[in-house]
Order: sequence, then structure tokens, then C-alpha cells
Amino acid sequence: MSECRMELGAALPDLTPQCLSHIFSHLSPHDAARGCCVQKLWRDLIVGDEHLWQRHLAEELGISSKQGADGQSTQTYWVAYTGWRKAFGREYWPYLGRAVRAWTTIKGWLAANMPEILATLRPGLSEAEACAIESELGFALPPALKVLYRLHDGQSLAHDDALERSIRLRRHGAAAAAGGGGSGSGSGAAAAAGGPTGGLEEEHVPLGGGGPVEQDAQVASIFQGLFGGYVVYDHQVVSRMPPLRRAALWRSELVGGMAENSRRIQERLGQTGGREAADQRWRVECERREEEARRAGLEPRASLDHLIPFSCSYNLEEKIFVADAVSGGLALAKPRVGGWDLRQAVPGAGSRDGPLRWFEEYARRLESGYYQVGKPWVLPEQLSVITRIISLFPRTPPAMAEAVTRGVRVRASVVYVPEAVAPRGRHLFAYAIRFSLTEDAPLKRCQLTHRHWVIRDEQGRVLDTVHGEGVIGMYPILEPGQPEFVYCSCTHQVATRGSMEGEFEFVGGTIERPEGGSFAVACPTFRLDMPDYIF
Amino acid sequence: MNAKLTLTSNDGQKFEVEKEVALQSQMIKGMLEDIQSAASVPLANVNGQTLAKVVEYCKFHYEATKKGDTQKTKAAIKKWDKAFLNVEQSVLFDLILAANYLHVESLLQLTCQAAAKLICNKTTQEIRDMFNIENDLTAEDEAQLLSEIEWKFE
Repeated sequence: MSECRMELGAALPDLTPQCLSHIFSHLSPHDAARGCCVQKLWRDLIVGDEHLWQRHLAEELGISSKQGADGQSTQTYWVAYTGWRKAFGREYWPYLGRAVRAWTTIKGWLAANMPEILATLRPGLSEAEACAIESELGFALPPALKVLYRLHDGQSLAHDDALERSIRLRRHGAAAAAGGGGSGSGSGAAAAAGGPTGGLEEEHVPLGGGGPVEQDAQVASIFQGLFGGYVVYDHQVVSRMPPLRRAALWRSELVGGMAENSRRIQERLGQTGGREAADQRWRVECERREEEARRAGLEPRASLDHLIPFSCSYNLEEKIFVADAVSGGLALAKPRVGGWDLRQAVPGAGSRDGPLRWFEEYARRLESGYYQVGKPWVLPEQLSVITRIISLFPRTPPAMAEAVTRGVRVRASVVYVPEAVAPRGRHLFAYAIRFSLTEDAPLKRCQLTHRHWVIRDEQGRVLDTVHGEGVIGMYPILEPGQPEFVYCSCTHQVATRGSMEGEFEFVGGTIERPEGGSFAVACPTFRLDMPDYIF
Repeated sequence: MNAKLTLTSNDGQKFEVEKEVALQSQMIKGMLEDIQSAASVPLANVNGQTLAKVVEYCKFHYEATKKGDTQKTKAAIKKWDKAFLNVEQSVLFDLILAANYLHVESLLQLTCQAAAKLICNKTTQEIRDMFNIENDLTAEDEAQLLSEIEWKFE
């Protein structure tokens, strides 16, 4: 600006519309908007400059079409751009482009890999609805979190719908009972129709008969969690993004459950000795647990104040990530006696956009093939549902280590299981080992007989060794061209960093009909490190 | 290689330049493709003062970007451009008109960017004053516009 000395009133040459357009093409959206109001010619040139608004839409939101904020195609880029501006206030704007890009990446991946999950995404939450939920919660949500719901209000899943219905019914029943039961059959009818019962209501689905179709839909939807999952022995999680209103309901359920649990323990404590002594013991117990949590690197909280579930497993209590409305962070929340322990799931505390950064990282991982479609667990055969999940075992090197010995390919990857109830202060690492026999293997068939593991600490010292027969009780037979044999197991570690390597003993042919001797197959070293981003 | 070309402004000033220098103007380039023998180019839409600046710009950029001892770094070119733009607003506008007419793309970009900077962070009235523009929008037009660009006030 200082480069051009100004002389007001000096006769200025008339710039042609073409020249003005060239100048306008360099304007920021705000300057262009002000320019619109200068005069008719300027307005027509700026509003009609499709390149200008196309560029701003692409630069700010990563949108390359005339897509409006409601997902519909608009007439012009100007209409699309101003539509987004109108729909999303200033507080959203620093995060909107990031959120749109991450959602676009995720939806693109889903369309190509798991369309059944794409179909579960709900339309964006309106600003009015978001505000209503905030006022019910009693606290405001950070825009970096809200913006994700404004674009897609989580997932609609039959299993979760049913869970929500049963919770609302139970609450309704309790409310009716507390209300003196005067309305008897009337309240029963309202409950059976799934009618509104209070504060958080608005939704939804009348209580179905639960026929086989509905049951299949419910089971299928267990696996349709947007944020993926894993199975380690009897521990199964598939994380989903609940709609904001449902997240608020889950929150009040968790708060209620915690209060009930505390009450029961306090009652028990009160059975011996007096009230005061019981209170004292309760406080001591809570403090002891908090101290224990702190030592394990967790952040103890007495309540869920300012926390709201963002990602939950289908089996709600098993794995819950909560967004912190005050700090703007995202953490895994584990219930314990007298409160909650948080494990931060996003590195760099202090930034106000924890859930958004976590979401963006997740989008990157899907896009890069780090996470892929995987098999969940075996279901009763009569259920004719698709059983596949987004598997949280990494599938790209270096997170997935690979080695081939005599044609036997071994691939190993690890996932940190933050929600595991591990022995005091220990960390649970689940690993998936994949076996296959390459086409050019010298053998036509071989069978696994033994496993041998060495677990090391950060300095490379051996912490533990394991020798055993088979893997998780199985003796897989490998043949070229057969699908990979995959198994999952886990290890508890005191340290947050370490490594594991091993060997598998195979026999040529099968154990029953050996051909040639046995041989060792290397399993490459894989890290047992607590990650910075936890999913 | 060193063929010369004479450019004549609308007020009769003549500028002798190397052909290569003049070829930065897409308009002149196209003209020479049509009339290959031309040695003189009359430029009816550019005055002498402005044409002198355009020639200065094209000469410098030709020397600065061609391989050899006159070649300059990107930073040095940028610095020169900045000094080049230190002109009065009316000259800047004349340059924009000339660059647009002559199709000197990089000069057009440079000058339009500078003009855009003049508008940046100004109120609508300040822009009108600066460009000597009358507001011919009706109250209805303005109301309609405001409904679309409320966000600009944030």
C-alpha cells in the first residue's frame, strides 16, 4: 500500500471492466465483498467473477464444485460461497476448511471401501439444534468440535437407536413411577410409541417389533462404526460417532451410572462404622485411585463436567473418547471408583482443536491405507449381515513390519489399546500377525507348530521370552494363493516404549503328514510404543 | 538475434528495443507473426510516459531472466519490481491499462496486485473516494447485497 503514493482528486484514468476484473481477481473474500458495494459496475464484475469465488471456495474449503453448505449444487460459485458464509458464522471459519476437507477425504474412502458406513452418516446439525443441545448440556462446545457435527451429525445406526430407545423407555418408566403413577395406561401407551419423554427428546424411530429384519440391521450396524475397531480375545470394540444429541444422552447415562456406582460403594462403606468414618474412607479411596492414575500418566477427573462423548464403541462403556469443552482436547475416558481417568488422545495439549486434529489424522490414515477393511469376529451363521470393520491394526510400513522366510510371509502390526483394564499401571498392546505362503515358495504347504517371542525394553534389554505351541491354540496350514491367516493377541507392558520380535516354527507339509523337516520363520521386530495419536 | 523494433506511442514518442524484449507483449508477438517484416509498431492506446515504463519493465525482465551474466535472483527481481511500482496511482492505472492492452501478463499481474492492495482493508466509501467513483446502487440494490454479504462485517 505504501508503495503507491496517493493523490486524492488527481484525475484517474478510467480502468476498463477487463482491467478492474484483473484487479478484483487478487482480492480476499472480505475485500471483494466490500468492493461489491462500491457501485453497480463493481458489484456486477465481482459477483459475476466465477473464477474469483471458485478460487476462494477451493482455497478456503477445498471444494472444487458449486456445492452449497446444504450439500446441494448451486447456480454460481458466488451463491455457493456466500451460502457457506451465511451458514457458518465467523467462529467456525478458521476450522471449516479443515473439517470439510477431512470429511471429504473420509467420505471418499468410505464410498470406495465401505459404502455401508457412508450410508449411516447423518446430515449436518443445524446451528439452532446445536445451540439447543448446548443449553441442555449447560456448557458451550468449542467451534472446532461443533463444526464436525454441523457438517455431519454423526451416524445413524440401528443398534444404537435401539440402545437409545431402551434408555429413554427406562427413564420414562422411572419418571412415570416417580410421578405417582396416576396416568397409568396413558404413560404406557406413550412409552410404547416411543413418544417424547422429556428434555433431550425429539427423535425418533417408533419402537419396532424387533423382527428378524430389524435384528439383522441392528447386528450389521454394530460393525459400521466410522472410527473402526479391533478384536483381541473377548475384547471387541467398534467405535462410532454418535449424533450430538445422542452423545449428550450417553453422557447423562455415564454420569448416572457413575453416581449409582459411587452411592453403592459408599453405602457399603457405611455399613460398618459411622457416616463420618465412611465418608472419610470414601475420600481416601478416591484419592488413592487418583494418585494411582496420575502415576500411570492419566488425568483423573471427579466428574464429566465439560466433557462430552465424541467417539464411542457400540458397547458404550468399553471405549469412549470424550471432547473437553474447556481445554479443547480429546481423551479416552475410563471409569474408575469415584471418577474418570483421561488419557489424552491427541498430541500437543493446549490447542483448542483436539477432536478436529484427531479427526484429520484419522482421515489421513484412511487415505494412506494405514487403516484398511478387516474382519471382525465370527458371528452365528444364521445372521446374514456383512461382517467387516475398519480395522485399527495398521497396514502400511513402517507401522506394519514384514519378513519372508522360505516363502512364508509374516506381517506384524500393533495397536495400543488405551481402554484396556490392564494390571496396575501397565499398557496393553494388541498385535495382529498375518501369515501367507508366497506363490514362489519352495514349499506347496506348511504348518505352524511353535511360536517364540522376545520382548525388549527401550534399551534393547530382554524383558520377557515366550515359547509355546501354535498360536492362540491354532496350528494354521499355509498354501500359496490362500487368504492370509490372521490372528490377534496382546501383551502387557510397564513401559510406554519397547519392542517385540520372534520366530515361528513351521513344518513342511502338515503336522500329520510332514514333508521335510521343520524350519524357523522370522517375525520382524515391531514396536510397542504408546502412540501420540490414540484411536 | 539482435533485431531491433521501434515502438511508437500515441503521442509520437519512439522507443527502439530488441525484438526479444518486445516479444514479452503477446499483442506485439501476435502482430509480428502476422506481419513478419514489420520494424515499427504503432501503439495507439499507450502514451509515451507509460510506454517508457513498460519498456523499462520489459528490458529489465528480459535481461534478468535470460541465461548469462545479467541474470538475477528471484529476490533481486522482486526487489526491483517493488521499486518499479513506487509510482503515483494514476501512473499505476495507466500501466494496468497498457499491460492489459499489450498483453504483458506478468506486468498485468504485478500492477493489478498492487491495485488490489490499495483496496485491501478499506471501507466502501474509502474505496469510492480513492477511485473517484459515484455510488449508483439503489437502496434496494444495497439491501439485497447486504443480505448476501453480512459476513464481511465480521
